Amino acid sequence: MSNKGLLNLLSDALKRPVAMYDFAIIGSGVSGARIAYELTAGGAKCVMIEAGRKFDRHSYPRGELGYSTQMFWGGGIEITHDGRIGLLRGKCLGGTSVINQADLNRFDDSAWDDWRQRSGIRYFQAADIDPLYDHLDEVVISGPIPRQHYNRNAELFIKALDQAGFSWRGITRSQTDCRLDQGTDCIVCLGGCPRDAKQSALITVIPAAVEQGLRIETEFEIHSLEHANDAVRIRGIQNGGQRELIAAKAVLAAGVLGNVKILNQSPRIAASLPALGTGFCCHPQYMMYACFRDPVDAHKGALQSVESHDERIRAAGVKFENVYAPPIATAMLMPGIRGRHLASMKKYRYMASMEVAVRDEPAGRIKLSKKGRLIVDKPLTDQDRRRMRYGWTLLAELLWSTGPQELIQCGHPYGLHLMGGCPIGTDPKRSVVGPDFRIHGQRNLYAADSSIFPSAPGINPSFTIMALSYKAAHEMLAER
Amino acid sequence: MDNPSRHLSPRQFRGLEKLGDAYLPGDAQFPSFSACGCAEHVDCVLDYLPEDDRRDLKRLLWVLSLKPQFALTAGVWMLEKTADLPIPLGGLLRFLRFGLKGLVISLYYSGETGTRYHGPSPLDLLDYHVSVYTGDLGDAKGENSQSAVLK
Repeated sequence: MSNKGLLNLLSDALKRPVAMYDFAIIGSGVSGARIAYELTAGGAKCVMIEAGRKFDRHSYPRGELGYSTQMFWGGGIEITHDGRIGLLRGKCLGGTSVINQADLNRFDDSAWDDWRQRSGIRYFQAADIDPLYDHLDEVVISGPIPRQHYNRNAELFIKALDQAGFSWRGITRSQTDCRLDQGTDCIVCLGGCPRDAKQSALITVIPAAVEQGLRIETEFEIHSLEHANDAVRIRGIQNGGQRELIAAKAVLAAGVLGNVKILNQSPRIAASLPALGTGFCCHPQYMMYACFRDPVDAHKGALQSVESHDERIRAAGVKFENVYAPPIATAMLMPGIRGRHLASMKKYRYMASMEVAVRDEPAGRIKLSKKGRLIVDKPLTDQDRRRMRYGWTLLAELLWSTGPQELIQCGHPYGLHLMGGCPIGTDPKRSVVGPDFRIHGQRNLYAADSSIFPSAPGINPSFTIMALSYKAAHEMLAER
Repeated sequence: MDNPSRHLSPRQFRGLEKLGDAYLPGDAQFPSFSACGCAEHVDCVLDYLPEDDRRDLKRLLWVLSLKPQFALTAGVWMLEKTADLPIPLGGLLRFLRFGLKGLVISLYYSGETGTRYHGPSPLDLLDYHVSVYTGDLGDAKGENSQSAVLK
């Protein structure tokens, strides 16, 4: 070979991007953290990229205003395009697992049957997923709130369902040693748990993955992905400056809105994904309050401990939970302004509340505006409205049966379980992610978080996100 | 009083107080939005708003500062009645309502009050006191304390 040929080879080699990591995991919530843990346990060199800040139990922002603005996207809440549904998602290391109620539920046959039918994927059945749940049950600390720690709000919920002949159960929550007997109020932990009792990704799998070699980059918002030979070039902004990383493979775990935004901003990838942004659903949740003569103090003690567990309610496409909200969130839900608003808020300690979550159809669509802002188009279908009306009517009957002086109905739903946008399936025209968790047509791009959900299960999604992420990580490792 | 906000001009700040009083004029028990001084903490919200939203809000507050109080009250009352309006106008108005009411409510029930206000905060008046026990964790502040974290 001539000197010129050697020089050209050398020049090409210098220009060729070199992957610094085996995997770049974009997002640090339930999915990203689980995948990072499994991949690093398998010996992969990984980096985790998180748009939000790193907090810990000493540094969680104080008060509802502090954590809403600093730990949630959109400065607290984002709104669907029609202005009807508020969407909440965590923006911090550990993602939504830091600020949710850590409910862990297995899917039932109704959810799996629907997923199998929509996606064409055969492993969506209890026989295949239960072993994953079983494994996670062994490694994730969880359990129900002991009955002696149910607060009056929970007892009223139980009374209402018992009187109507509906079944209920204690919610399995990923927490330990809350010290409820010492006066802990779990409502504080909606802004991060100051005693690390909540087993969020931040204090469980993320530190374990770091011990296994995981590198973490926070306050690094990804803008786009691009193929670079046999690697992925990841571009974004960190601390106000442009930043770029190259990894052999990338895992999208930035949640529904994050994943759809990143892929939409990566035009060469998005061009081959006709179903990108489709199938959005969010279990719209409607709160109803019952006002009593004596204090209920629903904000004290265990915030959320029981849920409906009844085939008739499940078949109707709704779910009831006992829950309450801190003052700012409650005030936003209260109807009216001025005197009417204050009159309702003065009953804060005297109110019990229940919520109905609707198993909604995946009819939503997410896109970007010309300015690059997310537009979440989430119409409620006729079926959604029927389910909502059924749940709403039954909820009112249940609450009235507990003997309140009045009911306050809140017409503004919110969505905590954001799902779809990158639905999984075998047909690339109707789905974004394949059965092997690869983005269709992309050898080195994966996703396994709630964005791949093909429909709303009507069940809290965290445990299944964890299970699918575990499965995805082991498929990635098997192909290394 | 010095301008309490790094983001808002004094006129825009006045617009925020007038907007807040349109939503929360107070009563015999609860202070009005402006009287409790919670608006002094508006930067806690504005620091984390996207730049575009912050710019739009500042323009709007400037305009609102020029309006008489009764016009603002009528305006926010009308915004409350937009629940069933179809998009696009309904969507825009509901979005505006979410933003404006959210800002006012967030500040009022934040537990923060102003330098000139010496009464109980709206949170105190709701008797909202919550804590997490951290006395067993050996924290410098929380050691042997029943309620190391108060929100």
